[in-house]
Amino acid sequence: MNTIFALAGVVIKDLYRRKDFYVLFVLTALLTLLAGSTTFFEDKRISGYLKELCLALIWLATLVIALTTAARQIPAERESRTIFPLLAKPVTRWQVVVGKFLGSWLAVGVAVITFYLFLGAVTAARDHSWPVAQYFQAAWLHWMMLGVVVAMAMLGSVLFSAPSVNVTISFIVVGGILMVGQHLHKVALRLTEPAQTLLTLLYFCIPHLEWAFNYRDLLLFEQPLISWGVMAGATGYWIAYMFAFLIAAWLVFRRKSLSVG
Amino acid sequence: MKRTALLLVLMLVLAFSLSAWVNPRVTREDERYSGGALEVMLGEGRRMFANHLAVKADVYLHSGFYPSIFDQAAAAERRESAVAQEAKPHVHTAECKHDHEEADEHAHDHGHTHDHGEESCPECHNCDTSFMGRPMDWIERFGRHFIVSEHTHLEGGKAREILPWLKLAAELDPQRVETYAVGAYWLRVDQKRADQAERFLREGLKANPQSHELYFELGRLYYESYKDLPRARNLLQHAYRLWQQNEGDKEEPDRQSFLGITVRLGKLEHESGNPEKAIQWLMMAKAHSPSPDSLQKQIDEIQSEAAGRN
Repeated sequence: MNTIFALAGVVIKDLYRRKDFYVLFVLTALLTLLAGSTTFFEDKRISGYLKELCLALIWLATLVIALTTAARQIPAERESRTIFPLLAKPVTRWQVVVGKFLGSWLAVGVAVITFYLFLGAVTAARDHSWPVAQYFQAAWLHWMMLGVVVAMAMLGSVLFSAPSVNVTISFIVVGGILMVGQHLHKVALRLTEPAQTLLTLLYFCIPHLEWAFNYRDLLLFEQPLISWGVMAGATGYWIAYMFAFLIAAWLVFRRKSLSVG
Repeated sequence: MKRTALLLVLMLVLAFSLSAWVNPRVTREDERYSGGALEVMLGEGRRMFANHLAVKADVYLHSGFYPSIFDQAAAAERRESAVAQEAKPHVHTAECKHDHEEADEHAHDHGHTHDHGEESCPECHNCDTSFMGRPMDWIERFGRHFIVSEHTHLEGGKAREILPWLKLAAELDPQRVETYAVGAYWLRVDQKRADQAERFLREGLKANPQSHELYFELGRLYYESYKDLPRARNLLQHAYRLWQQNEGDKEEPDRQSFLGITVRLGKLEHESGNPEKAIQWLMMAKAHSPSPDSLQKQIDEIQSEAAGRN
C-alpha cells in the first residue's frame, strides 16, 4: 500500500509543477468575474447565469485536467524509460496502475475543491448565501464521477498509441455519456432490431456519469438535498466502475511490451 | 520572380475588387440589424442560439423542471399513439382543475405558452402528471434523484433569473418579438420595474417598428403600471391598427393579441367614462372570443351601469 501512496504522491507533485491547472483556474476565474461584472436590467441580484457559466467552466476544466493528467501517466513513464527502474524496485504492474490512478484522482480532487470554493465565493458575493451541504454533495459527486473518467483514461493510456488519441476519444465518450447517456434506452425503443438491443446493451453497460452532471440543476435551482443513501449508492456504483476499468487496464498492461520504438 | 510578384498584385487587386463589390450588398442586407459583435461573429446562425436562450429562460422559470428533446419526442409519440388507438379523451381530474381557455389566458399572462395537446396536456402547469412518465429501468429510477422532479415556478421576485437569458436572446435575434414581450411582462409584473420594461420594449420597437404585440405590451404598461390612460389609449389603438395591418388578411390571425388589445381598450374606455366606446370594443372582442359569455356579462354590466347613471 505504501508503494501505491508513494506513486500517487509523485503524480500529485507533478500536477503542482505543471501549469495546466493554474491556467484553467485563472481562465475560469477571469471569465466568471468578467461575466459577473455585467449587469442585466441594472439588477445586481441576478446570479443564476453566473452560477451556470461558472459551473460549465468548472466541468470543462476539471474534465480536461482529469483526462490530460491520467492519460499521460503511463505513456510518459514509457517514453522517458523511467518505467524500467520503477518496475525493478520491485513494484508490480498492478501497483503502478493503481498508484497512478490514485495520484491522478487525488490531484483532480484538489482541483475540484479549489473550483467549488471559488464558485461558492462568487455566488455568496451575489446571493449572500452559501448552502455548504449542497456544495459538498455537488463536489463529492463531481469528484466520484471524475474517478471513473480517470480510470477510463488509465485504460485508454494502455490501449491507445498516444495520449492525444486517448484524450480525444475519452473526451468524446464522456461528453456523449453526459449529454445523451440517460436517454439511450428511450431512443433504443424507437429503433428496429438489432440496433434496439445493441443500444439497450450500451445503455446498461456505460457508467452513468450524468447523475453528477445533472446535480448542477439542483444546485442552480436551490432544490433540497438528495438523501445521503442515494449519495452512497451513486458512490458505490462509480467505485465499481473504477475497479472494472482499473482491472481491465491492469490486464492489458500486464501483457504489454514496454519497449518504445 | 517578376511573374510571381505580378500574380500577387493581380490577386490583391481581385480581392479588393471582390470585397468592394460584395460589401455594399451585404451591408444593405444587414442595415435593418443593430450590427452588434455577436451578429458579426455568428451571422444568421445567432437566431438558433437566440431560440435556445429563450428556452433557457423558460427552463429557469420552471426551476429546471423541463422536458428534454428526448422527453418531448416521447410525449409526442404517446400523443400520436393515443390518437391512433382512439383512446379516451383526457379527463381532467381534481388536481388538474383548469380548462384550456383559462390556461391560454394564463399562458398569455405569463408571456409564454405550452403545447397543450388535444388529448392530453403533458407539459401544462396544473396537470402536473409530468412529462417523464414511469421510469423505464432502475438506472432511470435512480437517476431521477439527481434531476429536478417537482414542478415549481420561481417565486418571490426570483423570476429575475430569467431576464439575462431574455436579454441575450434579444441581442442575438432582435426580430424575435416574443422575447421583448415576455421580458417586459416579467420586469413589469414580477419585478415591478416598469421603467426597465419600457426601455426593453422600446429596444424591441426599434428593431420591430410594425409589431402590434410590442405596442400592445407598451400600452398595457402605460395602462396598468403608469395609469396613464390617454397615452395607453393611443398606444393600444395604434396596436389595434397594426394588428389589422399585420393580421387582418390572414386566414388564422393572432386572436390572442386581438382579444388582449380590444378587451383592454374596452376596460380603459370604461374607466375613462366612455361606456359606448367600451361596449364597442368589447363587442369586437366578443366576436373573436372563445368564451363570449363572460364578455357579454361585462357588456351587460357596463350597460346597466350607464342606464343607472342616466
